Amino acid sequence: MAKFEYQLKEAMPHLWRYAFSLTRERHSSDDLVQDSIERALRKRHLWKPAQPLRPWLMKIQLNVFRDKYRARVRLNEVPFVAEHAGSVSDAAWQDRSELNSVLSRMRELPETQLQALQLVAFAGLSYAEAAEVLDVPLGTIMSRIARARARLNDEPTPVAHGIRSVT
Amino acid sequence: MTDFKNIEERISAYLDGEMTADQRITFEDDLERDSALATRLSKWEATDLMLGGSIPAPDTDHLDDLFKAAQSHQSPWPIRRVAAMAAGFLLGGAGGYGLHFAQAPQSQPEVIIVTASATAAHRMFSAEVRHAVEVSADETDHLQTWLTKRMGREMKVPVLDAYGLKFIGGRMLPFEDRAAAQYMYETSDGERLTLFMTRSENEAKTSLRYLEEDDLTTARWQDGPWVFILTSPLERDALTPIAAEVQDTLI
Repeated sequence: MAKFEYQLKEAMPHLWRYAFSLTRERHSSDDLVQDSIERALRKRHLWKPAQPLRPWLMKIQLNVFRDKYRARVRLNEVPFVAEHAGSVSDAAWQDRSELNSVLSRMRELPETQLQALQLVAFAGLSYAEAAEVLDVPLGTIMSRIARARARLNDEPTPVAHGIRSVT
Repeated sequence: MTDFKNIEERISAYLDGEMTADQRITFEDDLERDSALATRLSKWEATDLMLGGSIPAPDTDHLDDLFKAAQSHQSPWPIRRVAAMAAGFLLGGAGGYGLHFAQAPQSQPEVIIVTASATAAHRMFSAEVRHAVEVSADETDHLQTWLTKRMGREMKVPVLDAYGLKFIGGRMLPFEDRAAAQYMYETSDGERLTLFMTRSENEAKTSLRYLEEDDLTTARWQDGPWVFILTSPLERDALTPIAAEVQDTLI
């Protein structure tokens, strides 16, 4: 009981940042996080104390997002960058145009690569945990992340040497 | 551990801390031999940092509020403390959020360091009653001359009486290896506003940018190498015309 809540609270900064990466907007991030926690609290009996909570939470949040938010975000076409225009974009201050191009490349990432990247970069999951959330092999996560990064850095898509299939 | 299928997977796994000790040692040997690889790694790392910095980090209080709201099944909008949410951002990297491989403090964008310094200086000196400033307002001429010499630019004190802000005085502060200056103003209620100025290593020209954290609003802009940061408990709307006045004086 206490362990659940402790781990949940500890995961919250990542949960929120992950929500922001999904919704690209503060108020929706708040909503999404709150909905996700409510769902997590309702389903806490399904969580096994031996398993780490963070990936379990991220999976819940991804599901809540898919169920309730994705349509809304698409509908609004919320630009990732606008959120930062006047407030928090410290990193962008010095090299705004570079950040803009990275963000626009991120928007164009294939869904599968974006999902893997968001889980690792913003939700703070390990490759193994991200693989669990997305229900794919670890090698697939690794290749998706690498391909996403290559794209963000404006490099050609890496070629897989070997027989592992990459999707 | 899964084998890497190409160099991109190795760079990624290295950045994400997903290598075994042996893999890391081999990779670091490669980095030493291959300067192109090292350059590529830094570029990817910089992109990661930039991306991490593009996502705000909410502060603990705000997250607690969200948690409590979810727990009690209250209305979906019990508390909106948007202003407080940016607070954690200034500590980016230190708190365990952000890209978890991007923790080198020296890689922090300079602006974050400047803003954090300005905020810290504001909190430290605006709380002082007797020693809030080093040179008081009745020696404004001396202060201007002194700081102009030390900063290497015109340091005219902006007059903000029209906004209910009386100039109290100023001080010199260190910022990294160079000088920074702080001018302090006070409202009739005793609320204080500070203007922090320093020189950046990177030239830029930006419009006003705001950051609201906890009880403070920060407005900042850069003009060439000069960075200006206004910090006060005033609302953003109240701060805007003041920032404009300061910009006019210190252009």
